[in-house]
Amino acid sequence: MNLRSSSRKRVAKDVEASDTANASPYRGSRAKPSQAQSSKRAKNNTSSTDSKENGNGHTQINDDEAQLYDRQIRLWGLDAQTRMRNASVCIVNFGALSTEIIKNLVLAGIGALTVVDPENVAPKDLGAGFFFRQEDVGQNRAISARERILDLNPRVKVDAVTKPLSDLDDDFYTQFQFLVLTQADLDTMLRIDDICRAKKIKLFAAGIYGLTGYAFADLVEHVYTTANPAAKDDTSAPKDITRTIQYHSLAETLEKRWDNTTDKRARDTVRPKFYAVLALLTYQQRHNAPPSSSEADVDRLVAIKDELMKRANVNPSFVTLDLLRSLAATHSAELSPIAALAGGLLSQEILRAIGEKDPPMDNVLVIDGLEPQAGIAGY
Amino acid sequence: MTDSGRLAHLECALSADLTKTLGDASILMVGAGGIGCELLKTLLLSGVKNITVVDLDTIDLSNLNRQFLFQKQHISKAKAHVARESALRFNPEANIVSHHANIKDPQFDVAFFRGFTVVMNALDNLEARSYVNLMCLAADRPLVEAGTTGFQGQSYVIKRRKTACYDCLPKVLPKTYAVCTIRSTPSLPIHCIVWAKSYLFSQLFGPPSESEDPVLDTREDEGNAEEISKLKDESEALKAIKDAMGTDKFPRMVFEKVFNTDVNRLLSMHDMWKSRKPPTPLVYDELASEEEKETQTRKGRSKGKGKAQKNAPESGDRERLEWEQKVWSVEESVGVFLKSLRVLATRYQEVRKSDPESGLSFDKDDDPVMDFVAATANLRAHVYGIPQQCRFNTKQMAGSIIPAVATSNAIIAGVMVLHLFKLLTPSEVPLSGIKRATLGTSTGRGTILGAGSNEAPNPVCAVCNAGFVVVETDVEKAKLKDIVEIVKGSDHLGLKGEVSINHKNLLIYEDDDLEDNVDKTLQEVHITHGKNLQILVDDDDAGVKRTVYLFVLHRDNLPTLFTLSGDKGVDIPTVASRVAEESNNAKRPREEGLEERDEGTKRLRTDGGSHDDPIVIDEVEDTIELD
Repeated sequence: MNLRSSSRKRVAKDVEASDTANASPYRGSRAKPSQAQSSKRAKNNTSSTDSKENGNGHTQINDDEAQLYDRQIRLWGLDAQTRMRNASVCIVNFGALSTEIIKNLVLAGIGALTVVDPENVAPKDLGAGFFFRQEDVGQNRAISARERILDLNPRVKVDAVTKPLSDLDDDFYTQFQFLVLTQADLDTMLRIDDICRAKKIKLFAAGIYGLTGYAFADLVEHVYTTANPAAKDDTSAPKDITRTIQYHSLAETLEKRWDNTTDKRARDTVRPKFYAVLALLTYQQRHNAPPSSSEADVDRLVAIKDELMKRANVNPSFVTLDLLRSLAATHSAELSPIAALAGGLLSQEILRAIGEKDPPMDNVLVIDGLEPQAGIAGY
Repeated sequence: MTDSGRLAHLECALSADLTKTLGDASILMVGAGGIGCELLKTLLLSGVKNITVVDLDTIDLSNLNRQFLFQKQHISKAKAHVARESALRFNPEANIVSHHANIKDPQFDVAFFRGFTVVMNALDNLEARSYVNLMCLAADRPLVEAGTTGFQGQSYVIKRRKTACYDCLPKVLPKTYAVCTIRSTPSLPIHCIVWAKSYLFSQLFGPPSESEDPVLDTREDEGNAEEISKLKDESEALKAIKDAMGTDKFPRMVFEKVFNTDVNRLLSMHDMWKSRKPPTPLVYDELASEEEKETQTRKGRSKGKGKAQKNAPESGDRERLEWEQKVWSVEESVGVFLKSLRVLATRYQEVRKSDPESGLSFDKDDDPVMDFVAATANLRAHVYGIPQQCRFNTKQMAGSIIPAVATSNAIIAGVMVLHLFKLLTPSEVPLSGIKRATLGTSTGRGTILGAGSNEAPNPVCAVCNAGFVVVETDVEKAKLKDIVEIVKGSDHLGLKGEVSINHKNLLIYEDDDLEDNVDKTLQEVHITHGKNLQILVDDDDAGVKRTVYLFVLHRDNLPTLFTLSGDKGVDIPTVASRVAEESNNAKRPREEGLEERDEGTKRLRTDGGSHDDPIVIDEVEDTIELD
């Protein structure tokens, strides 16, 4: 649900290529991202990995970058950092949540970032993030923030796209390995997920609504390395092994039934809050507008929640009336601490996916800002 | 612009009261590093307008991967000031005061802490955390405590007498190693690294005053007395070799001494190797390159072009990075060892020219120093059949580098602000509703950020189970006996029992036993503005003990000799003497991790933490710890 753009007339602009930024002092030092295909290497299940292979066809990290990224290379290793260096990420809609994600990904040293946003800076955007200034009000959000994103890490290539998503053809997405949708509505997410699946682009979708947040991941087929548990006892065993996760599409995830689940914790504690968000998104889809805090709207929201949860065979009482009331009243608020929480958690999952080290979220992350707590419930 | 636009998101989700309270609140942020940058941003975007930032640090290149308020052009500048300037750019109306200073400076006294609504810690070390904890207890201000390391982190709220304080839970001191493990019988890579850094480096290049590093436990016991005496002889012999420093034969002499002669001496102690794998001495002529051997025999050496270059690529090269990431062969380690010895010897002699009492100190970012430590540790590991480490890993262990990333800091700073929301709405959220949040490493499924209940105060905590009293006085006029009067006098605290007064673990007064100082002014016993006294009152008749922390504020021209604020005598909690004894005995560890604290309470400290208290640090660079 893109609250800001759904009801407004959009002004289509051309893709803002990096040529528009000739004035950037950083232009010379920016790296060329490799082709999107470079991430799609030969995959074989549970074979040992050869660390030298990881650099093939990639821009290598140099010593200066190793100094800059020292504290994080110590967490995820040089191979993962090299993959980040070569990753191309597109993020859609420049709100509080994407502000955090952009900051985290750019600091971590991804290769290229494209921000898609047709909206102009409004006064309330000044309270949702740190990229915008008073003088930007009325200017396109992606363009006004571009230079300031570069300031965070001049090594990253940053592009701004001012067209709305609906004006971009399917081929637009093929230049990216990762796509991050924020604050998107259900139909948009379903449509983009289909495109991404077909083109094997890894999709994350996320939103924050008052004190609640969620993220969804469809990485199609994801291959990663992880420490070999057998290496603990057997020093001759390979240190790392390769594993593969098959992800479920958003459409499949929405149809998920919890009939014979062994993961009762996921069903009863983490996942229910996702149904609260889904109820909100479904309301928006059906009524073409988000709910207000009126009793009538809250009743409708409760009915949708009951319907969704019964269909999934989850006890509807796991989502409280208080939570839905609060969602109806506060869903349009993009709170900075919730953006920091959701954006931080999601960025870490995106970076884990890019680094291809250890398993990324599979497949729904729910953030409850009231406790606060956050967890991932599998399909 | 008006605030109406900027506050739109907040006003939609928070009550009007809370939005106003946030705007009126005054926040002290201690630390402007990893957590601090994120916290400052999230506070400002949450409607907080009045923030004071204190940080003593300057900006380093390795901060820039996560401390987003800093950029390359800010390197070496004060974190507190740059954080303020960067934050004002996106929120020009904010009222941010920055201090490039140590939070322990006397200017940040109890009165200063009382000037804030809430204190928020974004610190990277235990000592400062403990200090801010004490100041918040004294000023009776809530403290939001936080820490991250790698993907993990935590945050919780400390409120005097309502929750556990920072020092309520036992902590473990940084790891120390028995001297014999380091000097004679290493079994882990860290033992070799500690030996290289804390023994060989400091023996060869350290200032003469610097004895062995505190991480080495040189206490003798029955079993090791003979060995320790031999080790002392060994150190003496090494000192003799230092006379050859500057000559071409110096590197070879050091090599043969520590990797051959000393190893052979240990080998001759057959009992030592009955149940251990014996070490293998290294032979210089077998391992040193031809160029090295030549250098050792040539008079007035002239450096050959590219000599030893293959061992140490220039900083900035891709090759350098690969070289730091791979485990060197023994021959490579020998090359690096000999070359770094020469470089350091030249530098050592230069600094000694200007000051004969000076020397070199370990700095993980000083390449020749780190080369020396990495090569030395590897050669020693080779001698003892211990797996060798690449330079990158050795640096992490030798420099106690804590991995750090922006995401964890952002998440924890977000949690801290959510804690603040609750602290500022006490009518809606009781303290028990402010959970202890713990961020764990994601495994792709399950809980990542957990909310657990906050701990209750530890009834025998030597820090928070105490009275907190502030005395404003003229330290040039008030005498120590006036302090005793404050404690005992019925007009003041009126406490009964035997009084002893400590300042920084030093006993300065004790009833009947140490009364020499009573007529001295506070100034004369070095109790000046901002200092605090730990006063123990042992009431034998009632079988209880009390602890009082007395904070001294110097004031000129007071109408009376002193004025008191804080706890009244009746508010000061007691501990049954028996319980206090038992608790001391129970907490007293056998070997390591001891720290003397005020009235003799032994306190344990933690760096890495236990399972219940997984992380308490952002980055700690001043201690040695196990990886």
